Amino acid sequence: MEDLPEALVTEILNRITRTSDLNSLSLVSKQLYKIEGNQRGAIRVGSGLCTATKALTSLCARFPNLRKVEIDYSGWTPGHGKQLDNKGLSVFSLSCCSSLVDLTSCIDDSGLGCLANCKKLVSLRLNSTPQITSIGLFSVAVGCTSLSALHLIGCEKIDSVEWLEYLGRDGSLEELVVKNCKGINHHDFIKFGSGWMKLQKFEFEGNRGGYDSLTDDVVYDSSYDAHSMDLYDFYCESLKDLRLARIKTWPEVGLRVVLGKCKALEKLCLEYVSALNDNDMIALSRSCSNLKSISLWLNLQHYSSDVSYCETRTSFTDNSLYTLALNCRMLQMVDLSFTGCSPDWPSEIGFTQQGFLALIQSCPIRVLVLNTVNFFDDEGMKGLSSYHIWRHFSLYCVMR
Amino acid sequence: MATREAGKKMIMLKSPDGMEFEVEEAVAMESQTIRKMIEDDCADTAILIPNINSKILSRVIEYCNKHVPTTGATGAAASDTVAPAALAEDLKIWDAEFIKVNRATRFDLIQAASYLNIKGLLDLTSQTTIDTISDNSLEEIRSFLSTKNDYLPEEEQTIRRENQWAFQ
Repeated sequence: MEDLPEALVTEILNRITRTSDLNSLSLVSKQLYKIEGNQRGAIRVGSGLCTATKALTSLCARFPNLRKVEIDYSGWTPGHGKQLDNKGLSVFSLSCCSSLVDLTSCIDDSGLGCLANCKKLVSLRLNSTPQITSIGLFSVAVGCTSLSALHLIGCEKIDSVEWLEYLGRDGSLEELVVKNCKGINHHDFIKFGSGWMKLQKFEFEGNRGGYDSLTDDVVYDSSYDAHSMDLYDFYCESLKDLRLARIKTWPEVGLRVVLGKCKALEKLCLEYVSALNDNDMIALSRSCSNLKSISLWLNLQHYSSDVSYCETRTSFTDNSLYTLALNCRMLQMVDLSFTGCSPDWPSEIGFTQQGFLALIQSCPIRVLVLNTVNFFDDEGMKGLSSYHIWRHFSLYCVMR
Repeated sequence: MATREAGKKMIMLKSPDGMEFEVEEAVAMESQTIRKMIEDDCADTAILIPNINSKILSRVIEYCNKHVPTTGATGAAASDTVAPAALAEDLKIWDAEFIKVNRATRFDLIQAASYLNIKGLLDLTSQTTIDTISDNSLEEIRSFLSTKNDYLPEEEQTIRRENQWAFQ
């Protein structure tokens, strides 16, 4: 290959996707080793990684243009030796790679402190890093000025949210995902303030467990409107993708207000969010005419609008379906799931077949996923087919 | 070879060793580089193709000739009679036969495809090179690429160790 110009060799190497091929090329000659090392954009290091600082330094020197480093310790046993620790991380941060995915349990705040020197870091995912606290995260928020995507998964020690306030005020975060972090409550995100303006994707998932069945006796007000007063002064103009799972929006409203503040939303997922009612869906659908996909996973809750009457049903009623049908004419994907509802009591589901068919009629639905839809019978299926078979050939329907 | 229809615009391509090739404009325009020259009106008489000798240039033209009817508008007549899938299959077999050349010729073709900016030919020649890398031992790769091993044994060992960590 010496007779080919280097640019052309690089172009050929760019077409190689298998790492094993790249690795054998690097053994062919020094020239190929150098060219291959320069063009490698992503590596994944695993259990076999020897964490001696010297070895890591040589790895970083070999691949100077890494954009993404994924660290995957699945299948790790003590026999593999040490996992990547703070010292190793400081080596990586010096090589200025722009994306670090899945840091491991050996990393603590001082490791994140090293990362803070990495001005090019664009995306960071911390997965099950129990030693990290808010202090470490704050240093990343301050230091990593290019950070646009942050994922926190199972980081149990993170609590106070100065880092979130700081990122909201001065950061450029476009993607924020927080799952299973005990210390972070959904109403903390109100402190993100003006950061919401830039955010395009937001996901919050509370701790697992306890949402499959009716667990508490709290009765929610079915006519409460969380959006009637402007409780908080922020907007989510850019938010396209929103997922809220396993949160209680009562007595503290918290993230529930976001539903009334989106304009560009295309994808919405609500999974077991308690205390929601039709007013939330009305506020949302009125401003989100671009909504393309909606997933509602609902469980049983107690609702009442006056003291003498209380019903046990899922959060939304047909009014929600009608307002979606009226305002969200781009809706292509609908996923409805009802947990804990008995076939003997169809009224436990707030929707009826009539409301459901009204929605299907008005929107160009292509994908429909229905789980335990007790209100739906043969008559409804006929209605569905008469609207759809001819209009949208690709309708895809799953029923469980 | 298909007979030329009247009225089709012809382009003259000249190799540096003095050979001249008359080709249909549509065929020449398979090369994005030549297309650009024609569109910029730089192709009045003949286009000199530097660095590509007549032997390689004739093969490139052969490739373009074969590939022009399926992509260009002139292909309507051909694809009326043959199903597109069968045509694609036929082309694949033809490509496989076309690329059965020695290493030096293949590298010349890569360079020509790169200079003339013919994506299909560059894909074909590069992929063939990559396939030899995937399917062969280190020594075989070296002989395919006619590259000498310039590693000391201990250097090679170090890289082998590094390679074990860096997987994708």
